[in-house]
Amino acid sequence: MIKNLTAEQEALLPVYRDKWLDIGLSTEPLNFEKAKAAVCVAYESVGLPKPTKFYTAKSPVDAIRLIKNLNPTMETNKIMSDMAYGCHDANWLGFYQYFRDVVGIKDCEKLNGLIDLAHHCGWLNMYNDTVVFQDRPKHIKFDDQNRLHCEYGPAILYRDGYSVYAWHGVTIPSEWITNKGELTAKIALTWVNTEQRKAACEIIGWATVLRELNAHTIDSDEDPMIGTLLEVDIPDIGEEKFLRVLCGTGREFAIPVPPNMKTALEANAWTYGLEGNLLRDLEVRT
Amino acid sequence: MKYVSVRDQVRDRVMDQVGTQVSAQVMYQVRDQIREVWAQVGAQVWAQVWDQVRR
Repeated sequence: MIKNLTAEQEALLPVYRDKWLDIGLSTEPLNFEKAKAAVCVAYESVGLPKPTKFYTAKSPVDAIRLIKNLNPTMETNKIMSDMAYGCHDANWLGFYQYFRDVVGIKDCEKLNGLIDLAHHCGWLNMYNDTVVFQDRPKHIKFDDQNRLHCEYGPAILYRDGYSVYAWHGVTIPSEWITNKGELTAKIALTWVNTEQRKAACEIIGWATVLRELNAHTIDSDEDPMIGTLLEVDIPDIGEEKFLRVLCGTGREFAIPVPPNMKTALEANAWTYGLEGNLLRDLEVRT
Repeated sequence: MKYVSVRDQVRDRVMDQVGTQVSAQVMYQVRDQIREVWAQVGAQVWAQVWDQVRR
């Protein structure tokens, strides 16, 4: 029984984590020949005869269409629940590859086919004689906190054009990005899903939204670069505070600030991680 | 076309065998490191693709 990892084994943990993050988020095109060889190993590992029919789909929706063509009685939910493996199983396959390669547990070799498969394709559907491989996305975009996000296009784009639009981790309707001019404060503020509503307000810009909400002024600093602290009652979300401020280029911004802010100076300092008086002191010195 | 689950047939067996050869502490240590892959890959990206396709 292995009770502890050695220092060398521990040092490899982040290496495997990063390696499997890369595999899970790979945007390399499907490698059909290698995926085919790996899936045959996977079938053999559980004593199943090798499949003989292989198909490729460019995205999950393309796979659903393709499988329905192969078997018109198959329902969408069933097809989706059968989608598995490939790079999407990175989390648990990485766990066993570590035990196989670093700790030397031979039994993990039973997963060789699935581990290899994760390197070469996206989701797949395995049937008794048929396998449908999916391509991986062409791109996946994140914000600086590793949340799905793209301000000017889809956050996830497949090679057939199928896409997912996201704003700081929240899935949003594509037209909010592709046709930003049509997204109004009224649409944003009456949107039922509150996370999407917040995303819509951020896309439009809080300064625009606050003007339409008749925000109440709590404190206004004489310096427009310090700005004005506003309070607003957002439907279904409640009272929120914002600092409306001019930036160095003269553009107006509205930044959400914590509810305990009492003055514009305090709120402005908070955006720099400072206390209010310290910010004023810094301004005087510069 | 009949669905075959290679994962279900193999994974539980392999997990049992790993469990007889390494302590629970080591399994948790490895799992906790690799869990970040799930947080970024599974919960973040593929769950959103899945939700959108389902709709």
